[in-house]
Amino acid sequence: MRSLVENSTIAYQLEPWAQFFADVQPIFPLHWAELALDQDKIQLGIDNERYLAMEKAGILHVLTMRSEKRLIGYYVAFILPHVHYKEAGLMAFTDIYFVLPEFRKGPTGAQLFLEAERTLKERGVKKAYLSCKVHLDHSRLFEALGWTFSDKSFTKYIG
Amino acid sequence: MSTFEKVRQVIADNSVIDPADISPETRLDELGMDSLEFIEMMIQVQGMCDVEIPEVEIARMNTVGDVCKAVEMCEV
Repeated sequence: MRSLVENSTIAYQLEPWAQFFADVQPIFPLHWAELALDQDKIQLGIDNERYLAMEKAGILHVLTMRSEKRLIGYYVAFILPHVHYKEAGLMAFTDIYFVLPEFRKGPTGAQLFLEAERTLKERGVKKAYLSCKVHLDHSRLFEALGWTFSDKSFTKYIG
Repeated sequence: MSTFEKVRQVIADNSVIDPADISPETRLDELGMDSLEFIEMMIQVQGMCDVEIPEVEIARMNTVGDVCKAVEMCEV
Protein backbone atom coordinates (compact mmCIF):
# COMPACT_ATOMS: atom_id res chain seq x y z
CA MET A 1 0.00 0.00 0.00
CA ARG A 2 1.44 3.39 -0.96
CA SER A 3 2.25 6.15 1.45
CA LEU A 4 -0.55 8.61 2.17
CA VAL A 5 1.80 11.52 1.76
CA GLU A 6 2.85 12.58 -1.71
CA ASN A 7 4.49 15.69 -3.14
CA SER A 8 5.74 16.57 0.32
CA THR A 9 9.24 17.57 1.25
CA ILE A 10 8.94 15.12 4.13
CA ALA A 11 9.43 11.39 3.59
CA TYR A 12 7.97 8.77 5.91
CA GLN A 13 9.42 5.27 6.06
CA LEU A 14 9.91 2.26 8.28
CA GLU A 15 13.54 1.84 9.30
CA PRO A 16 15.71 -0.63 11.18
CA TRP A 17 16.35 0.38 14.77
CA ALA A 18 20.13 0.61 14.29
CA GLN A 19 19.80 3.14 11.47
CA PHE A 20 17.28 5.17 13.45
CA PHE A 21 19.33 4.97 16.64
CA ALA A 22 22.42 6.32 14.91
CA ASP A 23 20.58 9.39 13.64
CA VAL A 24 18.39 10.08 16.66
CA GLN A 25 21.25 10.71 19.10
CA PRO A 26 21.08 14.52 18.89
CA ILE A 27 17.27 14.45 19.11
CA PHE A 28 16.67 12.18 22.10
CA PRO A 29 17.98 14.78 24.61
CA LEU A 30 15.58 17.37 23.15
CA HIS A 31 12.75 14.87 23.34
CA TRP A 32 13.63 13.99 26.92
CA ALA A 33 13.91 17.64 27.96
CA GLU A 34 10.51 18.46 26.56
CA LEU A 35 8.58 15.38 27.67
CA ALA A 36 10.21 13.48 30.48
CA LEU A 37 8.98 13.73 34.06
CA ASP A 38 11.07 13.61 37.25
CA GLN A 39 14.11 14.80 35.33
CA ASP A 40 16.00 15.54 38.51
CA LYS A 41 15.78 11.86 39.50
CA ILE A 42 15.57 9.88 36.26
CA GLN A 43 18.17 10.47 33.58
CA LEU A 44 17.87 9.60 29.90
CA GLY A 45 19.44 6.23 29.15
CA ILE A 46 18.15 4.45 26.05
CA ASP A 47 18.70 0.70 26.26
CA ASN A 48 19.93 0.05 22.73
CA GLU A 49 20.46 -3.67 23.33
CA ARG A 50 16.88 -4.21 24.47
CA TYR A 51 15.50 -2.34 21.46
CA LEU A 52 17.65 -4.50 19.18
CA ALA A 53 16.38 -7.61 20.96
CA MET A 54 12.78 -6.47 20.50
CA GLU A 55 13.44 -5.84 16.84
CA LYS A 56 14.89 -9.33 16.50
CA ALA A 57 11.74 -10.68 18.15
CA GLY A 58 9.61 -8.87 15.56
CA ILE A 59 8.02 -6.59 18.12
CA LEU A 60 9.46 -3.21 17.11
CA HIS A 61 7.89 -0.71 14.71
CA VAL A 62 10.03 2.30 13.82
CA LEU A 63 8.53 4.94 11.52
CA THR A 64 10.69 7.93 10.69
CA MET A 65 10.12 11.36 9.17
CA ARG A 66 12.99 12.71 7.12
CA SER A 67 13.46 15.97 5.30
CA GLU A 68 16.21 15.68 2.70
CA LYS A 69 17.49 12.61 4.59
CA ARG A 70 17.67 14.49 7.89
CA LEU A 71 15.75 12.79 10.71
CA ILE A 72 13.09 15.24 11.89
CA GLY A 73 10.59 13.02 13.67
CA TYR A 74 9.58 9.49 14.56
CA TYR A 75 6.93 7.15 15.89
CA VAL A 76 8.00 3.94 17.66
CA ALA A 77 5.67 1.20 18.88
CA PHE A 78 5.80 -2.32 20.27
CA ILE A 79 3.61 -4.78 18.38
CA LEU A 80 2.36 -7.89 20.09
CA PRO A 81 -0.83 -9.60 21.19
CA HIS A 82 -2.39 -8.07 24.29
CA VAL A 83 -1.90 -10.31 27.33
CA HIS A 84 -5.57 -9.88 28.27
CA TYR A 85 -6.94 -10.48 24.78
CA LYS A 86 -4.63 -13.04 23.23
CA GLU A 87 -7.12 -14.02 20.53
CA ALA A 88 -7.85 -10.44 19.49
CA GLY A 89 -4.89 -10.07 17.16
CA LEU A 90 -1.87 -7.81 17.19
CA MET A 91 -1.96 -4.57 19.08
CA ALA A 92 0.41 -1.62 18.94
CA PHE A 93 1.59 -0.05 22.16
CA THR A 94 3.08 3.32 21.31
CA ASP A 95 6.48 3.78 22.89
CA ILE A 96 7.55 7.26 21.74
CA TYR A 97 6.79 9.88 19.14
CA PHE A 98 8.38 13.23 18.45
CA VAL A 99 8.69 15.90 15.79
CA LEU A 100 11.40 18.55 15.92
CA PRO A 101 9.74 21.83 16.92
CA GLU A 102 10.74 23.62 13.74
CA PHE A 103 8.84 21.00 11.70
CA ARG A 104 5.61 21.14 13.71
CA LYS A 105 3.89 23.05 10.98
CA GLY A 106 0.69 22.52 9.04
CA PRO A 107 -0.35 18.91 8.55
CA THR A 108 2.92 17.24 9.60
CA GLY A 109 1.71 16.02 13.00
CA ALA A 110 -1.44 14.57 11.50
CA GLN A 111 0.60 13.00 8.72
CA LEU A 112 2.91 11.25 11.17
CA PHE A 113 0.03 9.59 13.02
CA LEU A 114 -1.86 8.72 9.85
CA GLU A 115 1.30 7.15 8.41
CA ALA A 116 1.78 5.29 11.68
CA GLU A 117 -1.78 4.00 11.44
CA ARG A 118 -1.33 2.97 7.82
CA THR A 119 1.93 1.11 8.46
CA LEU A 120 0.57 -0.58 11.59
CA LYS A 121 -2.48 -1.71 9.67
CA GLU A 122 -0.17 -3.15 7.01
CA ARG A 123 1.50 -5.24 9.71
CA GLY A 124 -1.88 -6.61 10.74
CA VAL A 125 -2.35 -4.53 13.86
CA LYS A 126 -5.98 -4.46 15.04
CA LYS A 127 -5.81 -1.83 17.73
CA ALA A 128 -3.33 0.81 18.79
CA TYR A 129 -2.74 2.58 22.07
CA LEU A 130 -1.06 5.92 22.55
CA SER A 131 -0.92 8.66 25.13
CA CYS A 132 0.29 12.19 25.54
CA LYS A 133 1.64 14.18 28.43
CA VAL A 134 -0.66 16.45 30.42
CA HIS A 135 1.85 19.26 29.92
CA LEU A 136 1.88 18.73 26.16
CA ASP A 137 -1.68 17.76 25.42
CA HIS A 138 -2.39 16.49 21.90
CA SER A 139 -5.91 15.29 22.66
CA ARG A 140 -7.57 17.51 20.06
CA LEU A 141 -5.25 16.24 17.36
CA PHE A 142 -5.81 12.58 18.26
CA GLU A 143 -9.58 12.94 18.54
CA ALA A 144 -9.69 14.70 15.18
CA LEU A 145 -7.81 11.71 13.76
CA GLY A 146 -10.36 9.27 15.12
CA TRP A 147 -8.70 8.16 18.37
CA THR A 148 -10.86 7.71 21.47
CA PHE A 149 -9.97 9.26 24.81
CA SER A 150 -10.11 6.14 26.95
CA ASP A 151 -7.83 6.30 29.99
CA LYS A 152 -6.26 8.58 32.54
CA SER A 153 -2.88 7.45 33.79
CA PHE A 154 -0.89 8.51 36.83
CA THR A 155 2.74 8.31 37.89
CA LYS A 156 4.42 8.59 41.28
CA TYR A 157 8.13 8.56 42.02
CA ILE A 158 8.57 6.19 44.96
CA GLY A 159 12.33 5.60 44.88
CA MET B 1 -18.57 32.35 -2.34
CA SER B 2 -16.23 29.85 -4.03
CA THR B 3 -14.56 26.99 -2.18
CA PHE B 4 -11.23 28.80 -2.37
CA GLU B 5 -12.75 31.97 -0.92
CA LYS B 6 -14.27 30.02 1.97
CA VAL B 7 -11.02 28.17 2.68
CA ARG B 8 -9.02 31.39 2.42
CA GLN B 9 -11.37 33.08 4.89
CA VAL B 10 -10.95 30.30 7.45
CA ILE B 11 -7.18 30.33 7.00
CA ALA B 12 -7.06 34.11 7.37
CA ASP B 13 -9.15 33.87 10.57
CA ASN B 14 -6.67 31.35 12.00
CA SER B 15 -3.35 32.77 10.91
CA VAL B 16 -1.46 36.01 10.70
CA ILE B 17 -1.21 35.79 6.93
CA ASP B 18 -2.78 38.53 4.85
CA PRO B 19 -5.64 36.96 2.83
CA ALA B 20 -4.22 38.62 -0.28
CA ASP B 21 -1.09 36.50 0.14
CA ILE B 22 -3.02 33.21 0.19
CA SER B 23 -3.25 31.39 -3.13
CA PRO B 24 -4.02 27.78 -4.10
CA GLU B 25 -0.25 27.26 -4.33
CA THR B 26 0.41 28.43 -0.76
CA ARG B 27 1.98 25.60 1.22
CA LEU B 28 0.17 24.59 4.40
CA ASP B 29 3.42 24.48 6.32
CA GLU B 30 3.92 28.17 5.53
CA LEU B 31 0.76 29.32 7.31
CA GLY B 32 2.44 29.65 10.68
CA MET B 33 0.20 27.05 12.30
CA ASP B 34 1.32 24.07 14.32
CA SER B 35 -0.32 20.67 13.83
CA LEU B 36 -3.02 21.26 16.43
CA GLU B 37 -3.91 24.64 14.96
CA PHE B 38 -3.97 23.09 11.50
CA ILE B 39 -6.39 20.37 12.60
CA GLU B 40 -8.63 22.94 14.30
CA MET B 41 -8.55 25.01 11.13
CA MET B 42 -9.52 21.94 9.10
CA ILE B 43 -12.45 21.30 11.44
CA GLN B 44 -13.60 24.89 10.80
CA VAL B 45 -13.19 24.44 7.03
CA GLN B 46 -15.35 21.32 7.18
CA GLY B 47 -17.98 23.18 9.21
CA MET B 48 -18.03 26.18 6.91
CA CYS B 49 -18.23 24.06 3.78
CA ASP B 50 -20.56 21.50 5.39
CA VAL B 51 -18.42 18.51 4.40
CA GLU B 52 -16.62 15.73 6.20
CA ILE B 53 -13.14 15.13 4.82
CA PRO B 54 -11.65 11.67 5.40
CA GLU B 55 -8.52 11.66 7.57
CA VAL B 56 -6.47 10.13 4.75
CA GLU B 57 -7.24 13.13 2.56
CA ILE B 58 -6.03 15.46 5.31
CA ALA B 59 -2.76 13.54 5.38
CA ARG B 60 -2.30 14.07 1.65
CA MET B 61 -2.72 17.85 1.79
CA ASN B 62 0.30 20.00 1.10
CA THR B 63 -1.20 23.21 -0.29
CA VAL B 64 -4.29 25.39 0.08
CA GLY B 65 -5.34 24.07 -3.32
CA ASP B 66 -5.27 20.53 -1.92
CA VAL B 67 -7.68 21.63 0.83
CA CYS B 68 -10.04 23.09 -1.79
CA LYS B 69 -9.86 19.92 -3.90
CA ALA B 70 -10.66 17.75 -0.87
CA VAL B 71 -13.64 19.94 0.03
CA GLU B 72 -14.96 19.83 -3.53
CA MET B 73 -14.45 16.07 -3.72
CA CYS B 74 -16.50 15.63 -0.54
CA GLU B 75 -19.28 17.90 -1.82
CA VAL B 76 -19.98 15.59 -4.73
